[in-house]
Amino acid sequence: MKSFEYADEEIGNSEIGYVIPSVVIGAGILSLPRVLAEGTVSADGWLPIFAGGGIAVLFTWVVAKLASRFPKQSFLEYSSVLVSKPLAFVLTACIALYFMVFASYEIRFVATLSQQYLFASTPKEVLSFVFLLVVTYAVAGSRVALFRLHQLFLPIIIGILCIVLLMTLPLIEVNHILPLFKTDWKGYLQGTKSTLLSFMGWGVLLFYTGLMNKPKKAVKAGMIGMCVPIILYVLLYLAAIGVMSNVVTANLTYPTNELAKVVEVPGGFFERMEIIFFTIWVMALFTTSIVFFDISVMAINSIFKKVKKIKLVLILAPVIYLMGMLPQNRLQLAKVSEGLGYAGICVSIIIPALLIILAKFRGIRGDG
Amino acid sequence: MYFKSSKRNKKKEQDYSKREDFSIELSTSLEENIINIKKMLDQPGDLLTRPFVIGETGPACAIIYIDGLTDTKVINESIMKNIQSGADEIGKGFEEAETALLDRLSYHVISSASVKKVTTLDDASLAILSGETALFVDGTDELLIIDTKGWEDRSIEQPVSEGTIRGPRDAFTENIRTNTMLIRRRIRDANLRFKSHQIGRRSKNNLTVAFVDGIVHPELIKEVNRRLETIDLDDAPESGYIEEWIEDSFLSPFPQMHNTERPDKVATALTEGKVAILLDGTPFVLIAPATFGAMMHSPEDYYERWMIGSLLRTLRYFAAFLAVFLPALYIALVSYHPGLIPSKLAFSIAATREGLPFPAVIEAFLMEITMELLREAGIRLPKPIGQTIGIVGGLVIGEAAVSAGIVSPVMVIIVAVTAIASFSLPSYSFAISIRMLRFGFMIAAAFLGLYGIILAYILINIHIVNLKSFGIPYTTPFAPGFKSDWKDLVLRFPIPMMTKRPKFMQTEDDTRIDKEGKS
Amino acid sequence: MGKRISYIILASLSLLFLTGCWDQVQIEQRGFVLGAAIDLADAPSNGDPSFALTYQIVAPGGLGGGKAQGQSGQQKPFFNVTARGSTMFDITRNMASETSRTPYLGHNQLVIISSEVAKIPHAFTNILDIFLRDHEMRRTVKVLIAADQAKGVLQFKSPTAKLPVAHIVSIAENARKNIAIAPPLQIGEVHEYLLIGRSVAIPLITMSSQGKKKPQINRMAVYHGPSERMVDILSNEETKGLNLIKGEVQGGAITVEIKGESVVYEIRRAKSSIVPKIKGKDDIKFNVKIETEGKIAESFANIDYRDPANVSKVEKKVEKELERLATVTLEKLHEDLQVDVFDFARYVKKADYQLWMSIKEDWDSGKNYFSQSTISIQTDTVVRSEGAVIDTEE
Repeated sequence: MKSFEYADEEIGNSEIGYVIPSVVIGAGILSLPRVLAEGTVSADGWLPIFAGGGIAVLFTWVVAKLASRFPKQSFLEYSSVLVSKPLAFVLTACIALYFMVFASYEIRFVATLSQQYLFASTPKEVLSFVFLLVVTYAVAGSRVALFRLHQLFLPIIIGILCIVLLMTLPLIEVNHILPLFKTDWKGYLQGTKSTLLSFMGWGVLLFYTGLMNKPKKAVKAGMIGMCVPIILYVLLYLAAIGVMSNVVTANLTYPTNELAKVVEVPGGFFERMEIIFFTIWVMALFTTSIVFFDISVMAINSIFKKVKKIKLVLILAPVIYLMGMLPQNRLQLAKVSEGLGYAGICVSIIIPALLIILAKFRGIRGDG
Repeated sequence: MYFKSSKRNKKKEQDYSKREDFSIELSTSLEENIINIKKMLDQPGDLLTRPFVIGETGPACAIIYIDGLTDTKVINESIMKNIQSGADEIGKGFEEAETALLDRLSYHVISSASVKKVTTLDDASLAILSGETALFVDGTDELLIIDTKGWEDRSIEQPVSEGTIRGPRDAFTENIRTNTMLIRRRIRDANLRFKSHQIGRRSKNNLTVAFVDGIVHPELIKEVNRRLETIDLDDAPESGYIEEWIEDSFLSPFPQMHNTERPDKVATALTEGKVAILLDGTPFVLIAPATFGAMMHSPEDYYERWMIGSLLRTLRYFAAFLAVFLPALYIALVSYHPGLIPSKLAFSIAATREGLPFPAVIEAFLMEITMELLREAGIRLPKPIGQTIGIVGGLVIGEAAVSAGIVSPVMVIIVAVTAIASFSLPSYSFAISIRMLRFGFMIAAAFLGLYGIILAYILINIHIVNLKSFGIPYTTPFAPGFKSDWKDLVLRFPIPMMTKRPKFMQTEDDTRIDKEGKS
Repeated sequence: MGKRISYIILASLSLLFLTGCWDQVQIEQRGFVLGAAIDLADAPSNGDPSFALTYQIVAPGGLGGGKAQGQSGQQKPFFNVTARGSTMFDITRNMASETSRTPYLGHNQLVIISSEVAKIPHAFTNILDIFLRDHEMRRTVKVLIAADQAKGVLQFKSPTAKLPVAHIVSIAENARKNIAIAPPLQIGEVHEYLLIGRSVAIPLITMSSQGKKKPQINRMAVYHGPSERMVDILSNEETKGLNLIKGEVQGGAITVEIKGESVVYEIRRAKSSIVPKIKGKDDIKFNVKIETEGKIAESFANIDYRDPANVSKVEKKVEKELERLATVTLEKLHEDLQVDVFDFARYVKKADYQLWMSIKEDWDSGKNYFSQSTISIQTDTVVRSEGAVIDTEE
């Protein structure tokens, strides 16, 4: 039945608009206020968020522009036009690997967090495993359905974050936010870098734009989508600093979670906000993981065209799981996250920038 | 392609008919025909034959019908009386051609509204078994089938499973003609179409697809008919058989079609570009496609003021949430995360649980299963006793279990709230799906606490975003998002504001209301 | 498509469920800690101080929230468990051997530290560390210092509340009624002060000695940030002054004498504004302006309040009194102890960040720039209403 086109393997621009914030809001949101507070004075961290966010929006534009030059083409297809076939294969493989590692990091991160806040003695292997099963089930389904998942979950995530933010309002002390602009440029630079790393995620447009029915619209949708997490992060950061002050924020492992713990509506059933807060971060990590997993499947599938998607999913799932179990403790996990950040710069900034420059100079367009 | 039961389709190819082939032409001999019919039906006691002769010298004739399925008055008045009172007139000139006699009978004599000619024994027997009367004339290889259907029927009553305070009180009956009548009385549009199918290898049941041409998406009709044509069942006593056969995924816990006994609901659905499937013999009409959002709608939302309609819908979403999550949350919070309960509540739960023999999981399962038992027993028993069972079970068992120290009072409250919440959902089929899911969530909560509940919730979500009903994603219009359709989703906007038909149905004519009104 | 994989997932899920559940503890088997008290243990072994930690654990059956059965009435709704050790970790381990229910800190509302302990350098910080680190604990737990034994505070019999901790928590929240009660200090805020090494005043809980023993919170302990210990206890008047200067008064009464008879002025709204004037390290001035609004709550003196002159007479008197309280406090904290619990430091930081960065190590320790600063007090009082009656006697 071809009639209901919206139900088939094509996505519109609003779906892309949902995917971007869905991917970006993940592990980073929990620790970002701390990382920013470490490098900046009082509430100055909002500037680096905007700066990092600005760069993120810029590169979202670059990536979307690049990908929308080649409508309905996979990354492998258009990159082989641009940089010769063998190189394109290597690039695709590297990107697939990057997204796989990212997925395994997210899957491991879920276990670490749940261990810290909910389960003291349940082994991380089990927590990750169950999560991976759910992620695998999602990725094994139709790709368009994944976009629908984002559309269902993102409003919940943003809604609950906004509720938490609203409830922190009466607790904010202006004293914690002042004085303004006392950070030195090094602090700002440091903050911009860490923000940028936690905004990594627009790279998915390299792949997903090819699925769109009107790829030209990817540019605008992607940029709007990118703005959502920026605004959310700024508000969350200001709330964390305003409620808990800079020093405390800098000394909490996951300040965003602690923020939810500070909020108490006395008497009501929502005396403990963490319960819903916990829900949304599992969802947030889930939406991030499925995208990364799906993209690695997509990338590898474009290399090995004959292998069925389902088979690939079943092969990749254990690999991702084992990779996720490799880091022994939180420090190693942090190392992985750092490495991912730098790899992300490669994948989401350098490669697209080079490709688009090539495309511009050689005047190659995929849409004729 | 969307139809998953491909295995069943293959079976259709094989020849299933082992019995003697009766699809033979009729013979010209009246005698032989009657013997054949009787042989075919094995001389049942309710098969009546009434031989007669037209006029003095006319040909030998006979009518055959099944007693009980036919209206004897109609046979008397419109067949026998007419033929015999004008027998001489009719018999004239019959020597010329027997077929001419049949035509004359059909056009001039028999005053029944529906008369048709058939030529095979098979058709004849089917007609007779459907309550029609066969008129044999010696010397012709054709016979007349006269509609004399008439049997005892349940009259139109109030809907049993979908009551409303305000709104029409009529419900569908077992008679498909009554049902089509009920729909026609609501939509007097020339474009209202009823397309018939015959379902059931043995039962040969009537099935009608109703839709409004010019509104409905043509591909939808094609797909519905395609699926219906693949049906190969012995018997379809209820529309549930049809539903299970043509739905997209029979593994899903969610109903992918609505069933309703309310004609007003069907009429509204038809004007929204949906399709109704009526089956003879059941008052439950299927509406396809179904979406999650529509499962939460009750016709009364539109009949009462829009604010109340909106509030009630919101309440229903909340009820669905409670019905699914409440016991699971109780298990998770009580046995894993007491820190997430407000302090005072935590202490009083702990107080009530002091000295109980079972962990919260067992306690919850015990009570939930008891609840399901009570519900089941209440349905099976005759109505007056059913109510008594409800009261006895609910009050006495609950009270006794608490004072015997088997379950905590909090658990009783939770079970009661859950049950009430699940009763408040307008679609019974959907409510039972939710009841079933509840147990899944309870298991998830028992093993992984809140984490388990969330993962189970995500799992269900993955399932429903992959689920389609006749090509329409189950989560439409939430995702894929059709913002203009959100006017009639969780909230119900005032009717003058809902000027368009649901966009996701991609109707051919999308305007429902002209904003200006009639000038 | 997804069918086979859903079978696989179902199979592996069921495998998983066979392995059991690690963290499941039924709610009635947990010992909900409501309050914690830390004292110095009697026998100091080998020089290291050793502590005694007391948990007040709820016995929910005694709360009477559940079934109203015969014996539950007599059961005490709580029990106190004490364990000793030199580190908090040791203590919690020792405690496990003493209680039938594992202590669970998720509902803890109160941490009381005895002044003896708080006076030992670093002890206060070390003790709070475990409470802050525990992920179950919330950052809104209230912190109090006990003048004598902290454990004793948890043992009195409250006439109204079933649990002593609940009683104490509601006193601590009575800031609306008394100038001497500051808004309760939460462990999250204390964490902030500890991290930046700032001094802080912590509400002090004492047991009244005469008559029936009951707790009172009307004074404050001074905790000196740089040396990480408690240094002194403020008197009731000094506490009032401190709250006035910090602008943390939410209500309360000031009694003044007019014509030899008492007039009670009830504060409805109070605020303080601190304006720093900084010309250099050694020339830091603070102008503190205390403004109050209120009404006349009680008047023994026979005065006609319809006469504006009389009202302003009361206002003048109240202003004097407020100034006196503030001065007493400053004498003690600014001149004697030289500890900045007013958080003047924050205003310096806000006004001149560069200067602050250079002097922050020596603010109220070392060179003590705080004690070299000058602080001036201004007060302003308004009587908004004279009450419902003009006079009650002729």
